[in-house]
Amino acid sequence: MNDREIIELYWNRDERALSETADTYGNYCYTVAANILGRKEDAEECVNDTLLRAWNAIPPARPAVLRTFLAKITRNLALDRYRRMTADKRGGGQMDLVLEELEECVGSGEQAFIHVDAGESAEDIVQADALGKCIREFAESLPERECNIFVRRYFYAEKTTDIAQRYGMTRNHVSVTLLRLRARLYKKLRKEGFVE
Amino acid sequence: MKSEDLFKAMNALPDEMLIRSEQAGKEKTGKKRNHMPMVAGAAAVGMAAGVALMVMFTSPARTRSHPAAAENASSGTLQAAGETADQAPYEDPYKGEAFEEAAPETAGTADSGAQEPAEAASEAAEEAGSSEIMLEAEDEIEQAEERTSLTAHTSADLLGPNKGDYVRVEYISETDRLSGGSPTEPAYSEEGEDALTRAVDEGKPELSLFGEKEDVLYYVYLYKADGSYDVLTVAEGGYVSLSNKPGVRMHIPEAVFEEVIDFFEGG
Repeated sequence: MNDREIIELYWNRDERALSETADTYGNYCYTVAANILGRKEDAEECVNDTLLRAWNAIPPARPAVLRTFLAKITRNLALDRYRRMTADKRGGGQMDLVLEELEECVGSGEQAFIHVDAGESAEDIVQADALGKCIREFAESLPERECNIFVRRYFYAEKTTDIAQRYGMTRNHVSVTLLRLRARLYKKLRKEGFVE
Repeated sequence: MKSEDLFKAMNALPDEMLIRSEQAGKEKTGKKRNHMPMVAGAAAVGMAAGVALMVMFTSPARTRSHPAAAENASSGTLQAAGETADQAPYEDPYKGEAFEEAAPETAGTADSGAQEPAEAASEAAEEAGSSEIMLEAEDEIEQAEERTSLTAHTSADLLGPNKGDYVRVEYISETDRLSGGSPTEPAYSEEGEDALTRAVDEGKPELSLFGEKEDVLYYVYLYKADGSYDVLTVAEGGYVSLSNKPGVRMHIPEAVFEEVIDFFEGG
């Protein structure tokens, strides 16, 4: 069953949409969640939550690419779960490392940019959109290979060893590339006023 | 803003970009790479570059070259530059893993590998108290020592016919350097020496008038007996430059360079 047919099932409120989604994208969503969370059980629960969230989102949403639509839901849910896990002192995925790396891009934490969390206010949403646009512009400005590495690490939270294997590179090469990308991203964020 | 906000903002990345990152990976996944042992690898990238550059700079005919041209120039300029470069905190979760694992295994190969059987035989003879066995053991020790002397290469021997007056070689990855690591001396291997030769044969010199644009991957230090050293910078794309020869660099073909660069990771 292709994406369009699956989405039609959602729109028709046909529960087969969930099983079809699980069959087609379950492993994919699991990988996205596991990269962030590390724990099998948490990742599985996150996938279930993703299906439920998709069920509630479609309609009215009609995603152009179901795969990435689900990936983004999974990321959000996994991030929320990660926060809870961190509070409980558990976890073990790549998220600690990824966030630690991204700290380099946001500076000391005393920036003018307000904290964006769950779009609590209209201002938050505007700021989040602006930040998203900035990230998107940054990624689009990168050469293809660097862009791919950036996406795998900071969207999918993939291990550097896995990225290296995926693109036929050395692990060190990936690490060095990411290091330089973070420096460039920090520069852009600073230029656009997201960090001081 | 927190790093979590930044991570979450990545959701704004366009769908086609996410898909492309997967498709590009699929294309590369099936790529078969011919890995050589770590021992060779540790030496080969730097050595390949080193030999290539030495030959390029000192001997157009690629005969036994001596890095005489390098002697009058200041040494270690790249390392100095590297040491003062961005020192922002950076923690590589894989810091030195491959090197630390492989080095102890390989470092003593030439010395201990040949003598182990002889020592075992000697111990057996002592236990047996037999003079005949003792004589055999002594012979075996002598043979082992002879073999050892033949195989006791230094890291500089990886340079092969282009060794010149270099006496030791060390290298460090850019990632390790930034995270405070120290250079490592590779062990000799015939494979490593062979790899250098191939890189020399297939590498091409070219002008680099505007400095390095490629990301640096490794620094290789070529030490002389008096303690001075030259620094090779190995950069992405197969570009290699020597500290005392600005404006010129060697470009190693991708196929050779990829094979060689894998050595640093231990295959």
